[in-house]
Amino acid sequence: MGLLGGTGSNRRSWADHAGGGFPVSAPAGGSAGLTERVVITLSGVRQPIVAILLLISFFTVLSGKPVDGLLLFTVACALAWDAGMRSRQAAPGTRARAPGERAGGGRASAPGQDRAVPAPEGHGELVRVESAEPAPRSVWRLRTGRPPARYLVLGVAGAAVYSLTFGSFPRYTWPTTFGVVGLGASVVIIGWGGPIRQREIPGKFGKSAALTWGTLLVVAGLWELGALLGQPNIDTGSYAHPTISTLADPLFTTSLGRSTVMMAWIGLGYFLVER
Amino acid sequence: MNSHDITVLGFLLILAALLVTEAVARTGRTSVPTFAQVVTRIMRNRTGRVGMLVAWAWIGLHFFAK
Repeated sequence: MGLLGGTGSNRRSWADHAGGGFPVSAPAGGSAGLTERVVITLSGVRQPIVAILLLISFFTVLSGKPVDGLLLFTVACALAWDAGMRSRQAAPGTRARAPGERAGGGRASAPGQDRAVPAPEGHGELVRVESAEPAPRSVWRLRTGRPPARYLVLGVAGAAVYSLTFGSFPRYTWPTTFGVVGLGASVVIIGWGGPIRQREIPGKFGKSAALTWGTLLVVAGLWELGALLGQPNIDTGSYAHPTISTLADPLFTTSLGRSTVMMAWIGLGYFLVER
Repeated sequence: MNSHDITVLGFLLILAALLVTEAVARTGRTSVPTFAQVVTRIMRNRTGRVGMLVAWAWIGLHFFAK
């Protein structure tokens, strides 16, 4: 299954899948088609997450991991294409309701209409809801709440066994690589199929909210970049200018440390896939 | 105080700012969303969803994989 294909029995054509099920007119063939595809892909690069992935792929290549960087670049391009196709289809009056999104009142807006809705109690600003994007589709059966406790216990136990197993191997070895790549790819494939839990999607945040978290993210990125550039070269750590990776190195010297970090990584992945 | 200490202090201040922002957001008295709300908002479409998961996978690759 390619990155741009559907999943399992819901395999759809490339154009349909990129549009989340909406019929899409395929670009014309030949050089005009290629040009149009490039334009569509470039328009998707405006998405912040795509731009961030492209930056990560760039620095990954510079740090001596060209294959990882190429994989990231490929995924970023696929996402840019997907975003570009989606923005082409988005039009007032054609938006379907997302799973977990309320119709009429509350945070959801009527199709094709932007309207200001009162912010939740305790929040001082009006929250304006955008309605230009198609609703997220999912190939999975959506849960409405947390899984039963026995499944959670089984999941935590499984994650612990997984972490202890693959964390027992030293870093940058094939067993650890297979463990991380296998789990990572599986989670990304699950995520490509759509959300697994029905959640209310927050409306568009006010400027203060975007500035707060955005500023923190930018400052953290710039501080890390400053430390990276202060190193003697890009793939050699420096005591004088330690990056987060350099500071975290002592954690990975023991099997327990590696297992703990891997368990935390798996926990973060579960948090994200549940969104 | 050498450059190592300054760099580490910077990271600690950023971490503290993140924790304070999350604590303030959870009080519900401001318009600042929680981290979970921000992530849910980002992941509302496939681009954000897959992008975030790929970034997560990259973290694992960066720290563990060849």
